[in-house]
Amino acid sequence: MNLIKMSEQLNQRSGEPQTHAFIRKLASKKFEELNWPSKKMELWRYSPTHKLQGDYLPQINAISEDKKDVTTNKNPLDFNAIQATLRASLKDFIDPRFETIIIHQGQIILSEDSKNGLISPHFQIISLKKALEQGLIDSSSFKTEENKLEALNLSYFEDGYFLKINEQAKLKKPLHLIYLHSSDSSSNPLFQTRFVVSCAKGSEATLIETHMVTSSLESNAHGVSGSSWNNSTSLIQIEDEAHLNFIQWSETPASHQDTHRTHITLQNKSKLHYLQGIFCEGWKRNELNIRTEGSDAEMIIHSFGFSQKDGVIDQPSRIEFSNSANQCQQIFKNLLTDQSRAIFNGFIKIHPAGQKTDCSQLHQSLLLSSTAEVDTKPELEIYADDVKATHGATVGSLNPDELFYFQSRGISEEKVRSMLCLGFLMELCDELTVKSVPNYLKSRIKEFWMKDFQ
Amino acid sequence: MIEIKNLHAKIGDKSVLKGINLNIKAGETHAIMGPNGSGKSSLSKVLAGHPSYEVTEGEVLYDINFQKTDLLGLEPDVRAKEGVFLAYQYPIEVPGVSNFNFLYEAFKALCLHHGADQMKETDFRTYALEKMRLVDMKPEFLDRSVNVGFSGGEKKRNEILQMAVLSPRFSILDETDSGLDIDALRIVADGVNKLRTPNNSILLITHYQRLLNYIQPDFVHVLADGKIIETGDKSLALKLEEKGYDWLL
Repeated sequence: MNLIKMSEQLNQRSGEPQTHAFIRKLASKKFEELNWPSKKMELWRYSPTHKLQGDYLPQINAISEDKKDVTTNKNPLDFNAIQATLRASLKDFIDPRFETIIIHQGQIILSEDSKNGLISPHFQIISLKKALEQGLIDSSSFKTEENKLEALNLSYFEDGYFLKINEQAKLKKPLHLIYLHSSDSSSNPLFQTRFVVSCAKGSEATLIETHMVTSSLESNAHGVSGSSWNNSTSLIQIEDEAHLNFIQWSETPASHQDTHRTHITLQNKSKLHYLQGIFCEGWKRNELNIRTEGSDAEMIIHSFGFSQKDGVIDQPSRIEFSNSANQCQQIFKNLLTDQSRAIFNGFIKIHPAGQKTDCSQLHQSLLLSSTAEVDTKPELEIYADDVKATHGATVGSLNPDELFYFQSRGISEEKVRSMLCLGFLMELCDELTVKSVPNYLKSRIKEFWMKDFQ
Repeated sequence: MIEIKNLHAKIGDKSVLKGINLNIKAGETHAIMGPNGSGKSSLSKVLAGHPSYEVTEGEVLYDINFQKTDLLGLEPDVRAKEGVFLAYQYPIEVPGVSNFNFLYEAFKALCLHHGADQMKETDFRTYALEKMRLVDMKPEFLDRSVNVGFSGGEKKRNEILQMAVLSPRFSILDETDSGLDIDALRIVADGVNKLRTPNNSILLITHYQRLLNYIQPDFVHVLADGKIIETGDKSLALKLEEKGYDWLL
């Protein structure tokens, strides 16, 4: 069954608004038109593209209406029971200082009363379907561009949520959204979440987006047996003078692949502190697209990743400055061991109107084994003459001076190596100024490291 | 405490130590002075076990449990756990690792090595804060990354803080006075003096006599071209300050 036919079947469901059907139809048509990513495409040159077609094409084709789907689930869910189970199994991830919302298999798990969303004085989170019906979002949130995987995602766009931070709202607690995907044999192996965030004028918020895969509700993120593919999109709009701290955290087990797209637009005098943390044994790709739609915006774009075994951290990044006096500091760091790989394509474009842009880009990789590999490619296109733009890339091993310094204080070489690796990963967390978040992230990093690496 | 006999060492193809002989007893403070490139810092790194240096001849005997032990046969971390401490001329910055974590891990390793009970994290924080007062360091430095963003003086104080936390038996202070203003020098020197006991020894490496006004040495040695060419009491330092090194070379 091809995707167009499949989307038609989805469209035939009762109560399906015409707009949805139209969007899905366009997307599935685009999906069929576009070629699969291949190594002939510059942004996919080093990526394990064979995994898309080889391992998962049959699964895409096999998805049909009788598979479990968030909107077609015939068995009513016991939300309270599921929430209790999930919260118990995710206790290490849930911090009481955060407002935590769990989204399991594309469905928000709150309570029976609020299964369609959560509305507070400062923010609301509802399904994309409702947001579209209520006119809270328009078709710009559903563009496929020329991206086959985006088109694939949009063909299922119901599996998603819309978060609106209200105008001038200052969220006291960080919002933590945990996306949980089960990869056991009874579940759909292809997840297509779509997450749209709108930070209204003058708002301030901290948002943590965690993506995890489990083999069952009871187990934790590791030891996953089945293979699965998460193909999701985050779409963030930061309006004038709004300030968003946006943290994306993902743990990608072996045999799982995660092709994510993060699109962010910034308007006048807005601020973004973006921090991505990746722990990967499978394939994690995050296409980061950032564009300014106003002047005087400030961005900190940070990412740290740790990959082991056959893991691949794949990070195409595109930052476009279309207006004047915007600032951006981009630092991406990866720690690689075994035969894992990191791919970084860092593209920065400063348009003619981007005068007084001040941006820097740095990609640092630490290789802990002789078989780990890094492919890094910075690319700057500058069409304005009064700008500051720098880029750099370093690839190396642990600093011998740091090693000796710590050893000369009585710490064993093995322990020093571990401390320095953790320090490499944790460094960027300290840049976050939001109370409680750096410590939370550091404890997550430490836990992952102690469990899986030592 | 430590006996250095005919010590020769090289880094790469370059010989840096060419027959050092030095005997430091418990409770003594020795100062080593000498022109640039004479081998002062090399000596400190060889004693601490820096892997870039190769010892080509000689031995270093160090008292461990009342027995003379070949120090050069021990790994750097074991030397440290046995009480050898090097305060760096240029302390290393380590982003991402907090000063607290660094000190706590070092302290835990020391306790484990000597079979002592481990101290709880909260108790260690109290202990470390108490030691910070010794060198007039602000508490917030405990949770900052090791030496990152520290001024020259703060880095040197941090070295002495580590010394205070680990209570070494044999400390080598490599140009601890360099880059310090007068007040900072006094604070650092006061900190060192408070750590002096009849059971521990100090080897001070310095270019300037002024440090020796604050930390009084029992012996002063002059190192030139990888060898000790003169030994005297603290008056030798005054003479060097007045006349320079030319009269000895």
